[in-house]
This record gives sequence, C-alpha cells and structure tokens, in this order.
Amino acid sequence: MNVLVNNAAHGTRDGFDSLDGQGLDAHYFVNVRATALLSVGFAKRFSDGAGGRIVNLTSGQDLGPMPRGCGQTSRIPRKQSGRMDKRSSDSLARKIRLNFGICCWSFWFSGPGLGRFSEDDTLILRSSKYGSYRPDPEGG
Amino acid sequence: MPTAQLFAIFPDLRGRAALVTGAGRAVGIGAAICRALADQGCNVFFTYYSGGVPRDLPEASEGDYAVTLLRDLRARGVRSECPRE
Repeated sequence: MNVLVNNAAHGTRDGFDSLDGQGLDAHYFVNVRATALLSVGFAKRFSDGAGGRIVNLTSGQDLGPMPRGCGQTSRIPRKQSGRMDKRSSDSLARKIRLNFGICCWSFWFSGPGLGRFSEDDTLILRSSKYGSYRPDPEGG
Repeated sequence: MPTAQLFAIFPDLRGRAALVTGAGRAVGIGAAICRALADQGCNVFFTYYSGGVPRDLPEASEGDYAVTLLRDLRARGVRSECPRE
C-alpha cells in the first residue's frame, strides 16, 4: 500500500443544542480515532522505498465558520484531526519519511455542497511542514 | 477541466496501491478521489459506510454505489476491491 486517503467522516447538522456524549463519541471514533489508527497501521506496514502518502481530509472549521456546514458537534473532533495532522506529519517525517518517504497532507474542501466534489469546488491545501501540493506533473 | 487535473499528479502511480476511506456516494469526494487515482493507473481499495442512510445525506440512498464504483474502477484497468457484506 502506497497511499492512504483518510476521507471517511462522521458529521451532523443538529447544532450546539443537540450536543451530547453519544454524538461526540461517534464523531471521535470516525474522525479522530479511526484516522489515527489507520495512519499508524499504514506507517507500520509501509516498506516501499519509492515513497508513500497519507492524505487526511478535514472540514477546515478551525479556519472559519461554515454557514451551511456541519453543526457544532462535528467541529471539535474535526478540528482536532486537523491539529493531529500537523503533529503526525512532523512525527512521520522525522521518524519515517527520512527512511521510507511518507508525507502527510491535510486538505480542506470548501464549497456549496459540503462533502461533495464538483469542478466548481474550491480546493485549499494546508500543507504540512514537510509536505507540499503542486498540481502539475512535477508535483509530489 | 477533467477531474484528474484537479488532483496532485504523482511522479508515477501505475501499479501502486491506495486505500481510500468513505467512498460510498456517487457525488462524494471519496469516490472522486478513487476515480482520479485509477485514472493514473493506481490500484484502488476503498471502504464505505454500510450502516444505513444517514439522515443528513439523503443522496446516500441512491443504492449500493460501492458495486457501481468497483465496476467503474476496474473498467479503468486497475485492481479494485472493497469490503463485501
């Protein structure tokens, strides 16, 4: 396995008033725990000297409000996931990339159709300290 | 602009393998990523939500899209697998 794309996410639009333990746990299990465990498992089994990639998609709610986006319940774990990217990318880069070439990226998708992809969507990359995005054949 | 041009082009993904989580919706980002990777010759393994229809994503009720996506990716000449119930 050369590329891991952590795209799966749990989100709700029920707002702050509906915040409860069960909802928070569901967000945590999918958006934080599963993302972290998959990344760790990927890194442990990675052995291709040609390099690999971990791409984490986040909602970017720590960058600004999302008027038509998820409710408050999704913000904490997704925001935490974004913070985790910064730390894990540094850790992966220091511990693994030097040996195996794993980069860790974080993407923020923004657009009128949250969670959807279309040619009109805006793609904003928050590159990690050791990663970069160049949408051209020289990229990577 | 073709979908593949909106994604990073790696030096060479032919024959390599990718795991994409959350690729169960036809209009979803996960499925789009799967198709873009396959277009670059990358074998794609994906997961998808099978626990019912999320109330906030009514479009997820459009059927078992995983089967369709699996067929679509294989038609692009790459290996593709996903969990089967």
